[in-house]
Amino acid sequence: MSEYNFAYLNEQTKKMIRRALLKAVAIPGYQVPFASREMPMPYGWGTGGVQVTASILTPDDILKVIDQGADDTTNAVSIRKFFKKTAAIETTELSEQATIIQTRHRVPETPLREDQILVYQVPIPEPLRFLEPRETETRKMHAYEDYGLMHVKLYEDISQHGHISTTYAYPVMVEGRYVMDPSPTPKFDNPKINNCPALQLFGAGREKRIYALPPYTKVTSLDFEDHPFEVQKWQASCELCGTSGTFLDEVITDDKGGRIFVCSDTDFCRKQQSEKFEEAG
Amino acid sequence: MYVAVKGGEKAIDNAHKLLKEKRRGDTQIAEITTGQISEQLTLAVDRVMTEGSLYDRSLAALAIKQARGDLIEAIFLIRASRTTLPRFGYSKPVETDKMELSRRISATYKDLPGGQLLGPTFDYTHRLLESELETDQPASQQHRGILSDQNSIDSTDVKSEIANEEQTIAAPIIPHVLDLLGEEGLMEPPSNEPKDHEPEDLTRQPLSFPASRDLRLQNLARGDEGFLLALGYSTQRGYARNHPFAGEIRVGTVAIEFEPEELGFAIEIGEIELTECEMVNQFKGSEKAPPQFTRGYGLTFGHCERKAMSMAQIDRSLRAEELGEQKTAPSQDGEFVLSHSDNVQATGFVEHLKLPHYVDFQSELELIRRMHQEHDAASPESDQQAKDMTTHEAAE
Amino acid sequence: METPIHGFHNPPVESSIAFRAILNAMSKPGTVQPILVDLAPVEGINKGTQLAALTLTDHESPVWLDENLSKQSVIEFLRFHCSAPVSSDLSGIQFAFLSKWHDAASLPPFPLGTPTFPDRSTTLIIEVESFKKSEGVTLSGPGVKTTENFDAVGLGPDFWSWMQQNNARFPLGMDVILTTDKEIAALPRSVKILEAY
Repeated sequence: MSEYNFAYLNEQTKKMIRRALLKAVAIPGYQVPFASREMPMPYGWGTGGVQVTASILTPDDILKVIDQGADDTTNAVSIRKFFKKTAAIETTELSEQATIIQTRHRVPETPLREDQILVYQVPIPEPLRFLEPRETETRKMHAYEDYGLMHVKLYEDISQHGHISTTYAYPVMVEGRYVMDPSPTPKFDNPKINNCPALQLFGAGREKRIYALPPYTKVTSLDFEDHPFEVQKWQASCELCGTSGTFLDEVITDDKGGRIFVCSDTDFCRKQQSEKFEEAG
Repeated sequence: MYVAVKGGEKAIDNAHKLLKEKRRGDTQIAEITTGQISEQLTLAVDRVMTEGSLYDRSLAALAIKQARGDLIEAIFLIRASRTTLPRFGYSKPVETDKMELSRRISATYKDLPGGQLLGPTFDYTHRLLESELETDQPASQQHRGILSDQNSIDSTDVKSEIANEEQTIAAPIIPHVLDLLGEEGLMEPPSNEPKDHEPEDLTRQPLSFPASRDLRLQNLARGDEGFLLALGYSTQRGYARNHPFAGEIRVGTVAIEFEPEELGFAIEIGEIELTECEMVNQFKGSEKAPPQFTRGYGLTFGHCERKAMSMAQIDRSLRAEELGEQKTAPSQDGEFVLSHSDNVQATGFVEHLKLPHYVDFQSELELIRRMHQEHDAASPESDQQAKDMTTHEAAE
Repeated sequence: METPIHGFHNPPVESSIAFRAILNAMSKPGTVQPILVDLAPVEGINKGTQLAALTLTDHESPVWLDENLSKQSVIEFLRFHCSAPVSSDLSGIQFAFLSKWHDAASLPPFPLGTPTFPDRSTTLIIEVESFKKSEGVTLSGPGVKTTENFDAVGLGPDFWSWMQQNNARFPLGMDVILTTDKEIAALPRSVKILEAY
């Protein structure tokens, strides 16, 4: 461990990131530019989340890392290993036990608490990017709350397809001011982002942006009166724990169209399984 | 019963073991040394140093070996290492007119002060495979080959003999070709910045647009050679056409000077090899600037001539706005060029598509299925195939 | 004899603990965060201010000092332990250190950020005597579940009406860190002052 500074980043880099984090918290939903550093893992693989986690981590923290809701996906394993090695901190797979949870693409099913921090890995922080590729333009749109383009896009979806065709990275409005990309979490998770007791921090390393949602921030998914926002629902329940109402992964079991559904949140699923087991005696 | 796939950690460990084996290849063949790489794959090393933004031949050689010859991977390794290094301060600007030259050519004048010096170049080789290179030559007893030591008399002989050039380079200062034009008043000054202008640094401050020229040049110097080459090429083919002349290309070593705070004067701390390219572009004048020749500038570590030339082309095309030219092509669009030039960023994001995306995909799948059903319900006989599929699904 | 160290003994660890307190304070306005790091006192500033300076400032963040704090011990501490340039050019000030809240009228025109870059603003670090949780103003906004009562001895009505104006400019504005020897609290620009004096 001695060959690295605690949590890998040098102190000067951490100061720079910490200053950006405070600004992000003070202006919820606004993307603060920061001088993202090259990390020993590729851009696009969580370098933003890793830099944020490295800058907030204390030796007493217990870290959980998930990718697609699961602790044992390869990139989650790799990032967890990185912090074990560079910060010698305790890690866990239990959502309740963690003080910091770094995530890619999911919000845990287990409700978060005030003493927890959720760190998101973000690939494209700009919700308007696919409508307007120029940073100079989107920056102005945020400055003047000019979000007409986003509403037009969503409405065009409805008129063409009868649905808003955005199913993940579904744009949200933060405290009535900034339109924000919740990262490519499924829109299923959007309600959990609203009024969440935990601090939520978003890091985009390649795009060099940090943004944040303090606890209990009002976050509403963009929608229309005649087409209110709704989350995905599954007919099936989890094949492993039997729970319904969680986000389910589809698993193809053979080449004849056989498929089952299992919880994407592996920790939540395991907990449900053991509770069921206990109930059964 | 279905059991979820586990074992990510073990799979990663095994992948690392396999990678190590693959890197070594057939153990019957001697392992390549980093010394061999830095001496014999010099141009690969130069590229890794340039785009890795760190001048260290042995680290670059190590990175190339570790990356199994994948230069972008090697550049990434160097960048990641560079970012952990402490920053002691900033060197004085290097003075390329005091460069000890190993190559210097100008396409704009037949002869000029300082002369033309071909140096080690592929330019006039016939691209025929040299089968004698297939036979390994034993290491020589002599410490260094004559061509690699630029200071020896032998090498000067070789240079003048092969290239049929001026005898020696007598004057320590070789003026830049573009400055000769400048004296005539036909060339714009090298920079419009005041002399005491502190260059910005994109590794310390996030890039914002429009970016200043110093930041653009820093970005291009770190940028991917292939990307710049293609963009530079596009400017010659009519996208932002602005015919460049290779005013001067020089390759050689310059001294690095550093002024320690406690000393109060600059001391030489070493030498580095650089390639510098200055392009000359005709300019008819606009509302913002008079008719004159304009400049495009390229600079790299080591000998990266193609990169330096492309960089100079793009530097010039990115000055469109400053010079009051119409912006019509990708190479003139600062935000587009600077946002996509970095191959470490680009490769990371393209390759991240390998990571699991099943949650997002599941979200899409759910929507497409629903829309598919609604589509079929709305037009039951319009698409026989779709109908068949629905029946098939219903039967499952 | 060992000279007392005004900086962190173990910067990576102590700065992480200090930053978590500041982050908690900023993301939960109205809460008071204890200082868990042991510091040798610097003459002229309290420990909360010392902690904030050590954790947040360096050569890339110009700082400003009010008249009471513009003394040798403080300037030397900032220079030696933080490498923070003390500047009088208001336009680039990232952190302004105030020995107390003087009044809104005498607050220099620090940057509030711009519509395109609201983050390019100054953070005020203001020393107070102590915190009060039972009386004072009622806060709400991001980071506050419903409402939170909060006050600090040394602020007064002038400060709270300034804070209200500060919030009215959102997303522009300054963020405030309040410090004592034992604790810190923070008031981001997003905080709403429901009931002032």
